Formats: sequence, C-alpha cells, structure tokens
Amino acid sequence: MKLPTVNLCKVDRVLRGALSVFLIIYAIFWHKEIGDTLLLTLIWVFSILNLISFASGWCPVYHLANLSTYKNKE
Amino acid sequence: MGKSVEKINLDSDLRRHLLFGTIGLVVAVLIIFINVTHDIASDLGESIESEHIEVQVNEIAKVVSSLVSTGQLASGQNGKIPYEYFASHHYFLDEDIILLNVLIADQTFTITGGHHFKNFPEIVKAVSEKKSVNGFTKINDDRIFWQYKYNDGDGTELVFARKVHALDRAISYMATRLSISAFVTFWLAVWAALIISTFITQRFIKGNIRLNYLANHDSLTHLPNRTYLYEIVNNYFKKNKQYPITKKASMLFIDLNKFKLINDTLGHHSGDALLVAIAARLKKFVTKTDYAFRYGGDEFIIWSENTEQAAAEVLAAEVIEVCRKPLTIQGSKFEVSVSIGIACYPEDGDNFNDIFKRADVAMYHAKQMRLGYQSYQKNLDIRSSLMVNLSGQLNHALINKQFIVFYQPKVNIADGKIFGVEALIRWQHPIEGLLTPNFFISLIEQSDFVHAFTRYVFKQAIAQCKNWCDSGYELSVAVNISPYNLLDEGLVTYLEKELKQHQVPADLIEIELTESATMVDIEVTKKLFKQFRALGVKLSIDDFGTGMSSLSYIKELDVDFIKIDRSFIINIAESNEDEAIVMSILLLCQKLNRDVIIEGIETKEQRDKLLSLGCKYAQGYYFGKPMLSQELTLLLGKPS
Repeated sequence: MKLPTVNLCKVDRVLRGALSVFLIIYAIFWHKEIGDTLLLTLIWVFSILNLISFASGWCPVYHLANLSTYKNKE
Repeated sequence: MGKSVEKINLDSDLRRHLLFGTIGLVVAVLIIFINVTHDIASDLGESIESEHIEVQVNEIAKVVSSLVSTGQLASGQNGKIPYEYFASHHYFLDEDIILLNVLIADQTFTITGGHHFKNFPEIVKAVSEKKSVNGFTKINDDRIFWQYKYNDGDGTELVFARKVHALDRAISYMATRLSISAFVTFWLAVWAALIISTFITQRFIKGNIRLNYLANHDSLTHLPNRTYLYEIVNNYFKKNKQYPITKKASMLFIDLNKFKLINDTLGHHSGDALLVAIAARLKKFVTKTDYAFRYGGDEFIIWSENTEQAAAEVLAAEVIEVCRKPLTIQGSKFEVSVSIGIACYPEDGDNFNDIFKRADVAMYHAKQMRLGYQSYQKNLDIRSSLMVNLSGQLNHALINKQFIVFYQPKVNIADGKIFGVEALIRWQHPIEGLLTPNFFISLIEQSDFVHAFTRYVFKQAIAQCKNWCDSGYELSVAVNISPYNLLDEGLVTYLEKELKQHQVPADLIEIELTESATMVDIEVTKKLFKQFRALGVKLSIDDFGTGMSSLSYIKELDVDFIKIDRSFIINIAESNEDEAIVMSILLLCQKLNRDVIIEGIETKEQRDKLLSLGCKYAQGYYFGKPMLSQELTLLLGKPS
C-alpha cells in the first residue's frame, strides 16, 4: 500500500491544531452546555481527526478529494 | 500526442462551482433550519409563559373581585392598592410582576408596596388601543409579557405585566446547540462537497478528454486533425516570440498522388483503407518534436520542430520511401507515391498561414513536376497564383473556345508520309498567351469540366478529320483521353453521334490512353475499350514503358498501337540499353500483332537508328511540330 504523503501546508496544519485544541477544551469543560451526546461525539471525532492531521500533515478528505495545500519547495 | 494542448480549464471551475454550490446549499438549509427552530422555540416559550400568566391573572382577578365585593376597593378611593391587600387574601405577588393596574369605573388603581411596580406607558398605550389582549415587549433588556383582563361580573379591568424567563432560556439553549450543530453540519458538508465534487469532476474530465480527443483527432486515421495542427504550430510561434531564440521548424505538406482515382475507381472503402495505412506509416515519424496530422482528404502534414530545410528534405525523402513500400488493400497491391511540399520557419514565414500556404504551393509544384518533394522557393508563388487564376477561368475558356487543337503528324519512317495526326490541345489565353497542357490539364482533371473538355476535343478533332476527308486526305486523328474519362459512361454514345453527324468513318479516330491511366482498374478500362472497339475507333496505349503497369496490360487490352515513350528514344543512337528495350518492345508487339509508334524523334540519327531497328511509324519534331490544322493541310499538299 502506498504511504500517505503530506498534503497540508503549514498554515493548514496550525489552523487544524488550534481548532482541535479549542474543541477538545470546549468538549471537556462545557460538555453540559452542549448537552447532546451525538453532537459531543461528533465534536470529539472532528477534534481527534484534525489533531491527527496536524501531527501527520495528511488529511484523509484531501486525499480522497485529490487536493493538496502542501507546496513542494522544489 | 493524445493529450490536447488546450488545457481543461473546466476542471478547477467545475470543482469550485460544485464545492461552493454544495456549501451554499448547506448554509441555506442551516439558515432555514435555525429560523424555523427559533420560531418553534419562541412559540413554545410564549405559549408556556402566556398559560402561566393567565393562571396568575385569574388568581389576581379573583382577589380584586373579592376586594371590590367586600367594598375594600371601590370607586372614589385614591388610586393606590396596598400590596398587603393581596397578602391578606393569601396571594403573594412575586418579584417579576412589574405592573398591575386595576380599573374600576374609569378609575385606575395601581398596586403599591415593596416591589418595583412602575407605570409603563408603552403597556398602558397598548392596552388602551386594545389591539390585543396580551403581548410581549422589551423594556431595559427584560422581556415583558403583559395581559389585559375584563371581568364580566363586576366590570373590573386588569392590566398586568410580568418579566418572563422561560422563553429566553429556550432561545439560549437552542442558540448553543444550533450553533454547534451548524458547525458540525457545515464541516460534514464541506467533506461531502469535496469528495463528491472530486468524483463528479473526475467523471467530467474523462468525458471532456474523450470529447477533446474527438475534436482534435481525425476519426478515420486517428491522427490529430487540423484544429490540433493550428494549436501546435501557433503555440510554437507564440513560444518563440516570447523567448526569442532563433529556432527553426519545417512543415511538410504531404499529398497522395492519384488518390482521387483510387477512390473513384475502387470505391471509398479502399480509399479509406489506404488513408489508414498511410497514416499508420506516418505515425512512425512522430517524435517529441515531430507531429503528424491529417489535414483533410488525402492531405497530411508533418510539423517538425527544430528542423531546418536540409533536414526536412531528408525527412521528406524518408517519408516518400516509407509510403512507397507496397500496400495490400482488400487483396490488391498498391504502391503509393506522395508529393511533399516543404516550408520552413522562419525563412518562409513566421505565422501559420504563410508557412501552410507555402508548403502547399511547394507541394503543388512537386506534384506537377513529379519531383517527390520540393522546398518552397519564391518563384513557385508566381506559378501557383497563375494556376489559381487559370482554374477559375476554365468554364469561360471552354465556352469561348479558347482551347485550340494543334495537330502533330505521325509518319511512316521510311518515306516520311503522313498517315495520321495526334490532336494536342493549347489554351489561347487572352492575357497569358498560348499555354501548353502542363499549365491546365491537371486543373481540368481536378475540375468538373473534365468530361465536357474531352468531348470538346473530340468534336473539334472529328470536324477537322471530316475537313481533311473532304479535301481528299484520309488522316487518322488521335485524341488523348484522361483516366477520368474512363468514368464517363456517355462518352461512347457521344462519339458515335458525332461520327454519324460528321459522316466520318470510325476507324479514322484513334483514342490514346496513357499507360499509367490504364492501370487504374483494368476491368473498367477493358469494358470501355470493348465499347470503343465495337464502335470501330482505333485504340492505343501512350507513353508505354514509363508507367507502373505490367506487361499483362498489353495482353489484356485489345489495342491497335503501342506508343513507345520518348525517354527511350532520346539516347537511342548511343545507348545500347535503350536500343535493347526498344527492340524487345518491337519484338513483343510483333508477336502480339500490335503496331508500334515511336514518339519524340528529334534528330536524323534517331530516325535512322529506329529505321534500322525495323520501326515503321514515328512522331516527333524531326517530322513535324504540333501545328494548326491549316498549316498541316499545307504540309499535306507538299511532297513528302
């Protein structure tokens, strides 16, 4: 199987990281305000996926959609 | 080569449209959803609040009724009701009540006491107008619900207002959850839109590539077509203008010789198969910088980048060589000859039209002169423009009888006696002067006048033959016909009619067909020759020995004369090879019982040599140039 290649640029990664941290904090401390289990689950999934993208620089949706914000310096 | 030069711009556009379309749709749905949910929550909150307040107002109304009935509250008292009145009736007004007015017989009583009761003119105004019996209003960021109640029993009226919380709470919950839902939905929508747009775009691109291929390629040969050619060549010029590097390029305009003939006689299937086979051969020349195109009909183009004239000529020679290799189409073997015109960038032009036109002119010259290939030269243009001019005047010339028949005598070599003539056509052009057939025969063959023209020549020749007969000279007149005339089904009937009309014996008319023409389709030629034979006219094969036909044609075709081509005669006095060929043909014809006429005798040595070889009949400048009928009549009168 082909290893996933980086498809996110720096800005994209940082934005995703910041968003995931914000959502995780929100989900932990304000979960009562959210109130709905389904919504809470979705927020957790979204946060974790974005955190993975932040760490690896690879986004599965970009991969499926054949997109990339990563600019090769060459 | 399969990829088009034209970029598929629709790709990113389509994706962007799909993406924004989907996201836009989701945003619209979310707005509707939030709006409706907000309304539902508001309606629910209002309904709960109003139910709750109605109960409260009913309770207060009861207390007020009791106060009125017991006389504790009556008209004429001052307008204040102490708060304690309600407490004494076991009804405790809560903190949220901000207005409670009681009207008894036009007198208003206001509740007083330890609460924040105030007279709010907005509420009083709304009540006085009596547009409704209750409603919401906002005072200092507080949502206020007010209610008006009229008591039938004692005629008292109540105006009541209270801060409400349930509605705000409902809206607050809804706002939080809806925002999160909207965010999640939006995020899911973006994912979905990205993936769906990719799939749709990919499908679209596939279709687009196919369409692009169809638009840029010829469906028969699968070679790129003229649209593609324009793009490639124009892009090359554009690139060269941007980066002024002195690069060279050459265009080879390739045209198949006698293709129309193959198409007309063997059918379009064979013609198409031939084009496909030639295209396959041309594809072998395709490299990163060399492109092959089918321009249309039997015209192909090779565009060779970074190639100058010398290299282009080498390439042209290779193309001719490759195309010439025998081809088998539907069981028949072909040897295809091509004519190639070469025009080079930048010396012959720096735009598509110039290069193309000049390659075409050069090709035309190569074809006319049977050169194989020809590079463009400036003097070709003059000839080419003359040809274009002439081709537009054919009909006019035919109607105005500008075509004049010249006659060249055919003689007995031994005594020089004229026994017949060959009719040769000239064009007496009002501006260009007397034009030889080189200038116009191919134009006529390519035009619609080919049949009318041949009939015209026959008519002239038969009329002249009749003249000579009347003057006592029985001369056979030979007329050359084009291979295209083999397709004229009415020619035999026409000839018969003319002969009858002029009362000329059929055996005085001779039809000459060049050997290369007879090879087109032997069956067609045989059939027509039979009809001519039945009519009684004489037949001969012209230019024998130069074409590509085999000896079997002499066997197959029942002709009276074989005319040996002049190329064997030029050096006959010195060349042993030519002598051997002529002797062999003579022997062959003797065995086959055909008469031989030698063409192109110009010197006495040639005449003597041929006489010594046993030739009987000849034709050439030595005996007489082509001349007008009057001159020939004079010549006939002289002793030979």
